[in-house]
Parts: sequence; C-alpha cells; structure tokens
Amino acid sequence: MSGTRTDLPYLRSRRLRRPADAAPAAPAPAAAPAPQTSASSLDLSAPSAPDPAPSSSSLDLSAPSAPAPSSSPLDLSAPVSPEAPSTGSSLDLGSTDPAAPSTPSGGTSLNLFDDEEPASSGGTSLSLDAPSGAPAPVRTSPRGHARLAEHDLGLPSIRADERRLMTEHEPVVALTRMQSAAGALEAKVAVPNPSEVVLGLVFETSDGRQSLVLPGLSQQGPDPRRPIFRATSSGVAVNLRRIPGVHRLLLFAVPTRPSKQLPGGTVTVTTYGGSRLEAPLVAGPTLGAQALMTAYVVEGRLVIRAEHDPYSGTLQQICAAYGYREISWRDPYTPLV
Amino acid sequence: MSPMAKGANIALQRELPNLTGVVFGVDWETGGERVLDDNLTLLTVLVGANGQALSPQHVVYFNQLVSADLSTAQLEQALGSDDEQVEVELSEVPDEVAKVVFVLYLSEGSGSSRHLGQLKSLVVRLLNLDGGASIISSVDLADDLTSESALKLAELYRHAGQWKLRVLGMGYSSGLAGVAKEYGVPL
Repeated sequence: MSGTRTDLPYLRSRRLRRPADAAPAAPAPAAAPAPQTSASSLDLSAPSAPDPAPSSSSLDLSAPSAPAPSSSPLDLSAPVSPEAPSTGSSLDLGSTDPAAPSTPSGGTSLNLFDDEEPASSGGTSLSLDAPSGAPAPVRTSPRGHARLAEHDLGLPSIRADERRLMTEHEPVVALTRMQSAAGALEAKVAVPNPSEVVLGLVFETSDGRQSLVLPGLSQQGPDPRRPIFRATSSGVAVNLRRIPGVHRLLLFAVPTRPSKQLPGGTVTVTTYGGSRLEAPLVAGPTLGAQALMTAYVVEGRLVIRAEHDPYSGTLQQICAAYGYREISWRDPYTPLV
Repeated sequence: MSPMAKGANIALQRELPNLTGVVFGVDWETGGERVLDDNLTLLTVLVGANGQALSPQHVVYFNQLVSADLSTAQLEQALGSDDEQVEVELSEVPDEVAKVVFVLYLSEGSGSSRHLGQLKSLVVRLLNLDGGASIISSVDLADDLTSESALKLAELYRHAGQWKLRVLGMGYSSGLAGVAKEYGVPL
C-alpha cells in the first residue's frame, strides 16, 4: 500500500525504522491477504470425476475431484481419489500422478478477478484465477488507499459460540476476516482414550514452504523461534496473528496403536470467539494416517473443509494426495523435518 | 508541546485549521521480548453514536488494512520511529462515525502468556498527514500497566463539528475479547 505511493511527501522524509527482513509479525501483504501470486488459482471445482456433483449448489466442494497440481494449490476439492482397492480401506497413490486440472467445461465458472458476471448456471466450480497473478483493488481513496476485492464466496459462515457439525453434505465453513485473525485456531480430538491418536498438521506458508507439525517429532513450525503452527497438549494450533504468512494446511490423525486402528470420536476446531467446528473421527483400520480437514486462506479468510476422506494412507501418501509434495521423508511414516 | 497525559485532549482543527488528515503512530519498546513483539496488534475501530463499530468492515487491523469507507488505513509497514501507523483522512470519515478508537492488544494465539505490563515503553503520537509534521505525542503509557492484555490508546472524536484527540491509556484484562464486546465486533 504505502510502499510505492508517491502522493505522500512526508513519507519520503520518514525513514524506515526496521529493515524489511526484520519486520515483526509478518504484516499483511500490501496487495491484500489474497491468494498468493505464486499460486494464483483457487479451484473449488468438482470436475473430472465421472459423476459430477449435484448441480443444485453454485459452489460444490463435496465431490471427489481431480488431483490438485502442486502449482495450483488452492483446491478445496477432495483429494486424489486413487483407484479404490477392493478392501476399500487403503490409499495407494503410487500410480496417481496428478493430471492437469480439467477445465470446467460444462459447469459454472466463477472468476472472482474479472468484472464479468459468472458464466452460466448448472455447474459447480469456482475459480479465483487472477489474470495478472494479483487481484485488482475495487476502490481507491484520493490518497491511494485501496480496499481490495472481497468476494462473497457463497460458503456457510459461523457465529461466535456456535457449534457446527461439518457433514458430508455441508463440509465447508468460511471464517470471517476477524475469525481468521484473532487468537489461535485450535484443533483437538475427543476420543475415549486420547493416547490412541495424535493430531498433526502439514502446512504451506505464503512463501511456499511446506512442513509438518507432529507431536513428538516436530513440535512447531515453520520457524521454531517464531512458530505459526504448534503442537499443544491436546492437539495442534495455528497462531492467527501470523495468518498473512499462511497459505493452506491439512489436519490429519495418526493412530498410535500398533494395529494403526483409529478410535472413533470427534475432531473439533475452535476459534478465538468460541465457534466450534466438529467432524467425526471414524473408527477403523488405517495405513498410518487419516486426513481430517483442510484449510485455505482466501482473501484473508480461512475456508475450512472436513474431508470425510474414505481412504487412509501412510503419512507420506496422505500429504502427497493433498498436494504437499515438497517434503522429504525418512520413511513413509516419518517426515524429515 | 509537552507530552499529553492520559485523559488530556486537544482540539486538532483549532490548532491546525487546515488539517484534513492525521497519522496515528504507536511506538513501543519490548526489551527484546520476542513473543511481545510478534503479538502486539493495533486495532482501529470506527465507532458510531451508539458506541458500536459501524460494521465489521469498519475495523482496521493487520488482516483488514483499510476501512470500508477508505478513510482509515493501517500502513503495512510503519515509517519513522513508530512500530505501527494508521492514517485517517478526517475529511473522508463518514458522518455516522462519532469517534475513531485506537486499541493495542496482545494476540493470544502464540500459546505463551504475556501482558502489556511487560512493555518498557509505549508512546503514541499524531502527525499531520499532509507533510508529516508532529502534532502531539503522549506520555509513556506503559508506566501504569500491569496485567492488561489490551489498551485503549487514544480516540479521535467529533466535538462541535471539529475533530479532537484524547489520550486514554485505559486497559482491559480480557484482551481482544473485551475490546470486541465493548464495540460490538463479532468474533
């Protein structure tokens, strides 16, 4: 905002106090807390699956979809659905390289960075592709202050102190800017024996770094001195004061039993204002990890989706399925952090 | 001009008849306490006659840098000696806005407990938006702080058709939640 302004003469006479690389607490990007320029597309489509999602919703996030290419990471659709093994309980990603994202040909394509009206009805995709890689401000004050586009994503919201069960039919909630910036977002799991499961996070920062937080292995990240993500005594948390530095994350569960059996229970995500999102933790065998929820930062707002993923996998497979491929692994269950 | 004490006010446009905008700056010293540095947050609320924020879009902070009416904008990176700065174009502030309140709070998302009483110093100042000349600065507001987690620093308010500034230094023990409750900001 102010960095390139030329209409305030006094700014030129005021010196920067801190060097840019020592700026505290990562201020919001000048252009806006908008989709990242390096990852400028948000594809919420439910596209190349053989059976398209129901067309009743203008924005459908529920159907399994084409894999998210790593260069186009804003994809709130379900992850790669590998060929379902006969047992129906495993995830084999060995032969599921992501295909190029399909163009939502028959559906509604809503481009939030154009002034044009969305394309015709009947479809289920929302694209935030920005032609120039950055959204254009919608209005500018005489002194050059620009308020950036704030689109109605058409997604459910949640009030303070409200509880919301994120079902397969309504798996998505968009937080407000304030909910996305106040205090911490805390994830916990409620099960009969808490020692039977741990929660972890894999994340991508706005500057493209990917890493994990996993209790006992990596307590916080990405920078241990100034962490955004951290393990807590009962789960994991995101410091939302640093939300401008967050691009996306995946919450997952790792069973601790030798049998890799997940206990049944509930996963909860709470905001500073007491909003609580709930999703079932389904009891059953796993291959080592189970994806639970994803979250993307869209124009400064966290959009959270309960994945209801029928497949488990090794932790490495789960991360890859959701597009976190910039992580090295000691073995399929242990990231190199 | 000597530093303004808590509770003191100044009639800005009586002192500066041509004043159309101001820069509100906050300068704090944490003594190198990283958690404090990383979680101190400036929040500016455009408040109506009913004492409530006009709307959630009339709250300016790091995740919403410009108010809905474009009158108030937080700089991405403060200039000069301040840690945070907000520009207010007084002539552009909507008539429904009775006052503009500046609040400093400690974000509670880090998992580490801190309070504003740990600040070594905390001074606010006002500059002329046109030219950057200093108008006023406050006394050190950190002197009387103890366990507060949020602090009303100052407010710009309308009086007899003109803008005045009052230095406040009023603390909350309930952090952002208390501020949000007072001004009707949904969390």
